[in-house]
Amino acid sequence: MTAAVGPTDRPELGTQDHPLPPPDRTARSSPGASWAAFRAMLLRDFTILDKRLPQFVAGTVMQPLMLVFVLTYLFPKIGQAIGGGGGASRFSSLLMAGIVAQTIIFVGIFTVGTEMVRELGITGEMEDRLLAPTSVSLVAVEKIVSGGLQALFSAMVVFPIGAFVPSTPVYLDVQPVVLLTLTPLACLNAAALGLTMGSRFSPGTASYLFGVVALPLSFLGAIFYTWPSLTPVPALKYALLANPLVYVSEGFRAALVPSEPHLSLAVVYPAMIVSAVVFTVLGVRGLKQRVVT
Amino acid sequence: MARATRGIRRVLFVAALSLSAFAVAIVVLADDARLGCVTDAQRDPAYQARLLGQIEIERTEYEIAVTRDGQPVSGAKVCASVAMVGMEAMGVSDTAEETAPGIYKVAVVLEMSGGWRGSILITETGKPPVSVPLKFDVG
Repeated sequence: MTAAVGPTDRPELGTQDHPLPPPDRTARSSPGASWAAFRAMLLRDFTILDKRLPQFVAGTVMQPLMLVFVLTYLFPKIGQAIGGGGGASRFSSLLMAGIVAQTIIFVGIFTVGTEMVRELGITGEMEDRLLAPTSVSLVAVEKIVSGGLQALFSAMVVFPIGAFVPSTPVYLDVQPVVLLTLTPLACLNAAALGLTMGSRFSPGTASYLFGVVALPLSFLGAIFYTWPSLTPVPALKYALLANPLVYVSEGFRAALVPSEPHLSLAVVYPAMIVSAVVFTVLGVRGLKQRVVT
Repeated sequence: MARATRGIRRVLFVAALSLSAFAVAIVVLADDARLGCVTDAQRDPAYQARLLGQIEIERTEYEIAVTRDGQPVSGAKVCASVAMVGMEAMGVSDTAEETAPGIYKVAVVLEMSGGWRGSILITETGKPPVSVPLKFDVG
């Protein structure tokens, strides 16, 4: 004989007499759970990158390769060397710093930015991430770390291109301490900028990301010229200080061709730190606004 | 750890490859032999440089004799940058390799006959870079 199974004494939750208990936010954001979620999200990003590796490598390599090929190989070969015969080597060396900076910023904007636009507006993948036992801020920080690592990879790729593609010799007087401290900072800056852009653009306006943001940022980012050389155009020279790419370009100039005139590192480092913090805050805030709405 | 990284093996491989390529590139790009072509240099009448042998379109390599106060300059970084007169944008330049004391070999092709000019940039260890002007005709 078995006991009859009847209704339990457990009260029905969600009623006026027995409201739902508040969510246990302490458990959701405990450091251990957050760290595990952070690592899992990072691993997920790199697993996706692994699947799309050929496209990522092609996309990363193509722009610096084309710039270096046209400006420092093709132009000298067809008699249009920038800087003339003797100055072509100098231009190529100056350009290297600018192209490293541009590549980092572009990878930051397009990897983090466009991915965010897609995940927020099209695939809804961001919702999955937000279900992780961690805060929205940490989800945003993970995006920055993931984008920063991809930007770091892209920066490394530029150097072999600069070593073997130009038809005029490129010489870099590498300052290891500056290079090793500046590069991670530049990568975080780029990814934070991408986060800010990605959280503010919708799929419908994402196409403007290139034309309205990336292109002016690039051409006015001291990539093809040094910031001090803009002295004949003082209004532009000082207006360009609002462009974060200028500090990255000039910082790499200090790290790679220190004998050339460049912005002082005493200006570059603080500006890059402030820029990274500001864009991180703006990006986190933008993401919070998007996921709440 | 191994299980976690299984899905990103290709990424790790490409990252390692890029790091190696980066290291090689830094060594190549920081080679002091390339410095001679990039540095801004002053003229110094004590230095002399001249191309050896017949200057003609067919040649792909030239030897340069470099002297200071008439004595061969050995162990310097030397770079030749030359362009046809009136067509300076078509200039060519190359870092030189020392083949004998004071004799440096460069690989440049002078593709058109006529007047050419340029400079030889010489950087001796511990001394400021020096530029020696060069003017010659290609037959």
